[in-house]
Amino acid sequence: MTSLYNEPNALLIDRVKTGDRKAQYQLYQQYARAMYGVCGRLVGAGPLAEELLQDAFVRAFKNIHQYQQKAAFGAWLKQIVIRTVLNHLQKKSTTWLPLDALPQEPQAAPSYEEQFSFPSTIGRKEIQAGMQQLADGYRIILNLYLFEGYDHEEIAAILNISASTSKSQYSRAKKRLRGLLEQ
Amino acid sequence: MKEQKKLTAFEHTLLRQQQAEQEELEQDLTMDRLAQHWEGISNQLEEGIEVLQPTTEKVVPVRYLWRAIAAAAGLLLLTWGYHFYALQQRPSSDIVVVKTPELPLEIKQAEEASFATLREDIQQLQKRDTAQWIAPKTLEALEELEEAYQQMKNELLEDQNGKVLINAMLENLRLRHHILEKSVLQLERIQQHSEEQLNYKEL
Repeated sequence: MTSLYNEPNALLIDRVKTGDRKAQYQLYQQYARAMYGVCGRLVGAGPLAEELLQDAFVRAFKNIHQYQQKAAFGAWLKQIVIRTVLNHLQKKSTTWLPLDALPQEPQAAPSYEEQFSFPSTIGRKEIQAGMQQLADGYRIILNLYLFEGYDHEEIAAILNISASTSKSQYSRAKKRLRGLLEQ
Repeated sequence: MKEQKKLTAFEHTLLRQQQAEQEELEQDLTMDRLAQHWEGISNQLEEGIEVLQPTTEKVVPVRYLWRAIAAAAGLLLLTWGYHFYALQQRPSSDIVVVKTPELPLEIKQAEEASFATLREDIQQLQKRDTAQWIAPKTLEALEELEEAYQQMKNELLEDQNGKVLINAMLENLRLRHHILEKSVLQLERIQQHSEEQLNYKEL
């Protein structure tokens, strides 16, 4: 038997499932900022991130019956946000790289320099600028692995690629970003 | 449990900076913007309200059938009344009759009957919807329809495109009855669900 996740908002979510607009608003208030952060890191802060935030919440509320309390509601919602962003990038963006079509690189052990050193003078603004220069696919994979905490199997399922492709492209994304920052 | 990732110095730096970026982004979203986006979300959900409805066949209570029949009869009377009024207004000689435009008594009575049913339904909805789940939005929609109705009525009194206006007025009243019926049904479903939740908690 699958045990249910002890979701603190379970009662509120039950009300949302009945179409209760007040409950929807309460849930939105709790999660909107964090989810905007996810959108902003994936596509950059601004109107597009805000538009995607709206779309993701509409999608979540319309599909709320699919939330079966197997994981935290926040994690379920975040997956919807990520999928909404991915759909948008795949439809609209010209810089989306089909990740599984790219040549895969062998996994080399990180060098001493890579493992223990990085110029401390490089700050958040430079990193953000570098992230925005990356191809969408690279930026997504870096975000998912490093910041959202997904492992390569989970990323493979989300992006519909193999786990080895995820590993290989993560490595390429990191290398590309480091190259941009050290220029 | 997930295995902890071994990160390089570069990855640590990226992670730290992106966490700071996340915090800043979260603070960027002001209360005003949050409210604006909620309005957008709410409107989109409103448009897709049929998606939230159960797909089972709806049973319309008998009391609604009676009201629908009463409303339809009233509206028929309204149509007949208008034609009668138009005939009465046609000059039979060269004498020009100047009158203040006014709806004849029959039309007024039919309209009043329809409005009375609507008023009664609104009162019932407000009385039952103590938690204000449905009533505010429904009333807003009804007010907009009332405004449109009054505008059409004024145009009708000025004798502009009578047939089209009569049809539009009939549709307006029909729509108001329909909105009220749907609101009551939705409220019944929500209240039933709340009761079930309460019963569940008490078990």
